[in-house]
Amino acid sequence: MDTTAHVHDSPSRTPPVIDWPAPERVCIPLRQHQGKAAAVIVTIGQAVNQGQLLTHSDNLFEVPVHASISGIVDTITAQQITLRQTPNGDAQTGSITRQSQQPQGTTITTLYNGWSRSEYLQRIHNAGLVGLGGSCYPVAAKINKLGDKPADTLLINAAECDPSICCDEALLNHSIDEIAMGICLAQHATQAKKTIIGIESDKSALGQLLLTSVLNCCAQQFAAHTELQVVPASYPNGAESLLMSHCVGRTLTPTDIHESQLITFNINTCYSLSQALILGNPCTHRIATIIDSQHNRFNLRLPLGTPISDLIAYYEQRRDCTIVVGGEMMGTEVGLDAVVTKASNCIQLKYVKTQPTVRPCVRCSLCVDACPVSLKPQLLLSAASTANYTNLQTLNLQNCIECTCCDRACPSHIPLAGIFAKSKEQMRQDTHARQMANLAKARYEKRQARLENSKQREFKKLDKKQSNLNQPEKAGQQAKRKLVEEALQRARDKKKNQPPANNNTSPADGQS
Amino acid sequence: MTTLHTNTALPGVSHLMRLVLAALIPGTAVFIYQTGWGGVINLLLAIIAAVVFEAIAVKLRRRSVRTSLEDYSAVVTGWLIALCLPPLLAWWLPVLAAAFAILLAKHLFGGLGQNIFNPAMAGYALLLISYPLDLGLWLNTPEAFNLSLHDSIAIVMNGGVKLQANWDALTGATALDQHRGWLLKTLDNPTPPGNTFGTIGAAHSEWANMAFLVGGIWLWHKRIIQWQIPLAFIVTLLLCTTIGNLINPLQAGPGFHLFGGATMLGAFFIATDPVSAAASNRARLIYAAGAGGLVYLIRTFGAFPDAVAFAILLMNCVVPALDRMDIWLLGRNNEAPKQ
Repeated sequence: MDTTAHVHDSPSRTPPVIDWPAPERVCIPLRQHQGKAAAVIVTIGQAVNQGQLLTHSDNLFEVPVHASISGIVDTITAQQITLRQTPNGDAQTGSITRQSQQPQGTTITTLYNGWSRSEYLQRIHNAGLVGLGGSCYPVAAKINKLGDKPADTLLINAAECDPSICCDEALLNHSIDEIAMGICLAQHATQAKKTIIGIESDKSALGQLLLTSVLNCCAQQFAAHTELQVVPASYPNGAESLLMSHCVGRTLTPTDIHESQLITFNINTCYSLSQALILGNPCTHRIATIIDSQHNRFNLRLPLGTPISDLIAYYEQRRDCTIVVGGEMMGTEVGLDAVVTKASNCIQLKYVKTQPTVRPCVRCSLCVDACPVSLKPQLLLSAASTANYTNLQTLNLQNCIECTCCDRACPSHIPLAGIFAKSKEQMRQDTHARQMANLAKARYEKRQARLENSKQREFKKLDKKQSNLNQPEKAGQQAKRKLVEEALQRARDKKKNQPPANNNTSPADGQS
Repeated sequence: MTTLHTNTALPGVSHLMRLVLAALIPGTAVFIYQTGWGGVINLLLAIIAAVVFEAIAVKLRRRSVRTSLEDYSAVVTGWLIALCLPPLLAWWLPVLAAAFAILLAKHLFGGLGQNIFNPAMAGYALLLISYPLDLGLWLNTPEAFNLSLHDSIAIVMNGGVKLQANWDALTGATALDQHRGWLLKTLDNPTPPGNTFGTIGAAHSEWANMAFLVGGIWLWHKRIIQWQIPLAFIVTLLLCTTIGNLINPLQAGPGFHLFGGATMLGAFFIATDPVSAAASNRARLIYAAGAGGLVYLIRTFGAFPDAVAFAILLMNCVVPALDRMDIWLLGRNNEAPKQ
């Protein structure tokens, strides 16, 4: 693997983390995670403090959001809540006062030994924590997925997910102890049997520091099983499945990880974890790498919901630039009204470049050589273009990590990763639709069988009746009949003996 | 693994095609040296015709003419057709081959990337089947090479060398032709004809083959082609001819076959056409080995002297099946660990 080609700078050249001042207005999207939005619990005009809950839900997949500045709720829509700073008022100063870096008072070990897993889950959920590496998977749901069992391996992802991003490294430089405490909390929350810190080779010194820091503050039972793994510094080794494969020593697909007791946390998530659980600061800010159009990089600690136009106004002369969120490789273009969310690990500002012409696939298989997870993008493309879900399944489309390495390799400039992302979604829908259809079919068949069964029973009953009628009478029945006839005879005799007073009706009664 | 910053530095299809053209230059130089103005005229005719028909086809299909001409694929097709043709053909033969290649073999199948058959070989095969006499006339006397440009154009515009009074004196059978003729009537003429063998391969074509080999190796060095196809093609041909030569010494040996006819051109420039070749490396080995074996069979037992075009076209037919086999094998591998 090529380590020299990596774009990360040496630690000294990584820009430090700078606090971005609280903006005048923030638009906080209600949904900044994988899952549904939680219910809004504030009203328009209400004054909120920084860190106050804006939404609430008990479902772990409906992660709440918090006010990232102190101010007044301006508007509420189905998608977002807008907060604006009050023009006067001392309590609601815009600037963010950073909490002291070392927690005071409670010793950490007593703190995290005292909580059960459900307590952890509740606290993590209410702090609005999601995977800050970019996936935005709700952290509480991720831990909850383990069930009551401990995690086999807890992987701490300290490898950047994209060559252009350096916020993980900046964070390591900035607050390594807080990350270490976050890791200790994660160990307790998951009861991990083994902890591995995965870091790229160009940051191995920082990795050592982090490991030492973790060993200093973590509990005895975890310290013995905590280790550092250095992976080659080449994209996309920061991807969860690849890093996990490296660290565990066998090839794992995203599905494998989802179905096993393996769990991954980004160091950004660990940092927020310690902020939330030790200092009680919910997830209201995130550290992101900003790349301006001149390719200068900055690491900013941004309040969530900060309009990206504020950043443009500060860093660029012209306003008409394109915003790419998510990094050089996996980034997606967003509109000018976009805001900073929990997913914004990298915000890139650039002026529109002429896009290369997309030509048809010439089957050169350069993409096959480029794929880090050994898929065959060329065959996948032909299967995707004909929506052949069987072949897509066979070709393991579900293992695609959408790293866009194939896009870069393609001489026809086909946006392969984007096509695969769409196909994956379609395949999921198709599978779902097929499952539903199968269920409906099974239901229908059961109902038909039930109806058929009852019909048969009905028939059988009728048959039985019929056969009973036709059958020669048994001895018991004959005796009964005899008794009845005798009774009738007695009645008739009685009638005969009686005076014929009601002559009109009695014969009819007797006959009936 | 890539960590490139921008798309601009990446090689596009047109860049790949330009490299292929560059790799063709040494072989083309030898070809022109051996065929004189006739070869130059063929090249110009075939390339211009290919580009014009490409433009027409793209226009008819309402796509961007500029985009598809910019990828140089039509130039490569025309160029490859011309390299297969003997000099001083009637002008409309290269044009016909280019028309068939571009219009029918390429655009009727859906254009670049969709064609099942290698367009250049389809065009050449059309001429080979329809005009075997014209295509068998390779100049072999020194006077033929010294024809002036004016005379060459005159011959080409007037129906080609076939209609010239002295064509029999100017032209002669190729080494492969002689070899086949000799194999078919071995009893009459047990000694090989004098000029069939050159120094290392077949007379006349050995130097062109060497030049194509050099260009092909450069192309591999530039990572435009992978080693699988040329190597499997050449090794299979080598094995077949060696075994054939051992069993029947009258059959020509591997040197003759490897450096005769269009072997190197086929191995490095035609079989490696990614569009009509198999997709995976495994399937490519089978594809190229099949083509190499077919070249031997057709050259030795078939009705046509050179076989590269037919061998590659036949294996092109197998490619969809090979690709399916690949997916099938993959599916079986996926299931294996679960069972």
